[in-house]
Amino acid sequence: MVSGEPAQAEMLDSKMSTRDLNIYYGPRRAINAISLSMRRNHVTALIGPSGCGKSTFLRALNRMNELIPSVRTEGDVLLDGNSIYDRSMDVIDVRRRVGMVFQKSNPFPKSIFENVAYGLRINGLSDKRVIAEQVEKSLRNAALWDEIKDRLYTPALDLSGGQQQRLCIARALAVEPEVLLMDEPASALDPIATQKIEELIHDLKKQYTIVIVTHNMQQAARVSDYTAFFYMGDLIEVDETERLFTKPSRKQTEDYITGRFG
Amino acid sequence: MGRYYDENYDQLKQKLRHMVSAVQQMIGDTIRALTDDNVALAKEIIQKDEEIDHLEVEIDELVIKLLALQQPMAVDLRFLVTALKVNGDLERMGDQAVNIAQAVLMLHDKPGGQIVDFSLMEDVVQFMVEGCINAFDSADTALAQVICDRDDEVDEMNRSIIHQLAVYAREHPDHADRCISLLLVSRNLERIADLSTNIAEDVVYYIQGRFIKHSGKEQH
Repeated sequence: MVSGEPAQAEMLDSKMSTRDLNIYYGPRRAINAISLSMRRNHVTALIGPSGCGKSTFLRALNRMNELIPSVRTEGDVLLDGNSIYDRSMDVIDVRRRVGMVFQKSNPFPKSIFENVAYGLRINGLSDKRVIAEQVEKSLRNAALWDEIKDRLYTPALDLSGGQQQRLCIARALAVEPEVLLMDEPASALDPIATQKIEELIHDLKKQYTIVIVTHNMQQAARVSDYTAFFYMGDLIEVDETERLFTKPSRKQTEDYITGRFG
Repeated sequence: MGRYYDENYDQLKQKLRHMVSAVQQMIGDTIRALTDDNVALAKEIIQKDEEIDHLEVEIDELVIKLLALQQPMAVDLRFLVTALKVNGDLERMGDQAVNIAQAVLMLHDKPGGQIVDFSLMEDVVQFMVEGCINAFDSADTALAQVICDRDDEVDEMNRSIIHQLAVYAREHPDHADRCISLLLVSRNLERIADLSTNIAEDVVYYIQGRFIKHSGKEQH
């Protein structure tokens, strides 16, 4: 792996990092000894062709891979310097601190309000006023409030695709995570909805550390501060986004981002 | 691996080659017209400028189209940005050649002997023009560096010629007009060398992605 000078210098205010992370699906190794740091209050984009391991890597960052029976994880993932795989770590707490937004928006078949309040309730919050405040704050942070404040109790599934995705972001934000993982959050959206999500990512990094998987290189170039290129389970190169897209160090990266393979 | 839109890049390269050979020929002809006091050739050069201007616009349009539609990255992006700059520099070289051709016409109307010798300066300038173009065409950074290194030589020759002309003009005030035209020729040749240097510097950016502009200090 090649890295740019400041990009991976140990450890420039790293919020999350992996150490020699190996992930296996049964006997097949999908992630090969990846060590990558994700800088606090910055956006790190993971790019690479389908099957390169970027989504598997992303899911390791909040222990989502554990939901797949055949997956085995070696190495370590650190959140503020502490292993999230440590026995003393509560997996529910890990997933609260490291929230996730998926490619396909997946609101619950409930009202807009209930979608956002759900996570708060299962985290033991019952004060209606506090819940209402937190719901509004989350919807505002997800840049959705102004569009839906008059119909909070209508079904979430009546929203447009772009609104549903922002609702899912609001739902993730409601439990006040520290890191937000996004797996192709705009790939199913039209350009206007995509732009809203991208603007949102730009605003959210002031408060959160964001890791985003995207197939859209222009999107990675627009929204991220650092970009990591994955290929066949290896981390080929990570660097400041500007540098990686203008002057990549590795030929494989160059070939991929100029469309010469992949 | 070939890409379905590579033909757009090939088309751009072809147009750039056309531009390059037109400008190269123009500069060669200019130097010949100056040396031989060839009025007919000077007039041809002045007319050729229109073709260069036309080509410049075509190339700019093609680059802008590729930037907008392909959204290029890495070496493709560096190539297109370089093509845009080289294109502008070539067009300006053409303008300098036209300026010299106009000076040839003026000098022809005011005969009065050679006064200064441009032959050495012409040789270096022609070497630089051809060199920077070859460096771009063959992605040769070593050659590009050689071109950059020779710019100072031309600057020095220009200073020396200006000094000679100033001395001569003081001694022969009746030849002041001729001296001014020759001074402009020297200045135009020096500008052509500068533009060759710009192209050579841009070639290094295109190949290696590093800036060597301005006092030779590498920038990131």
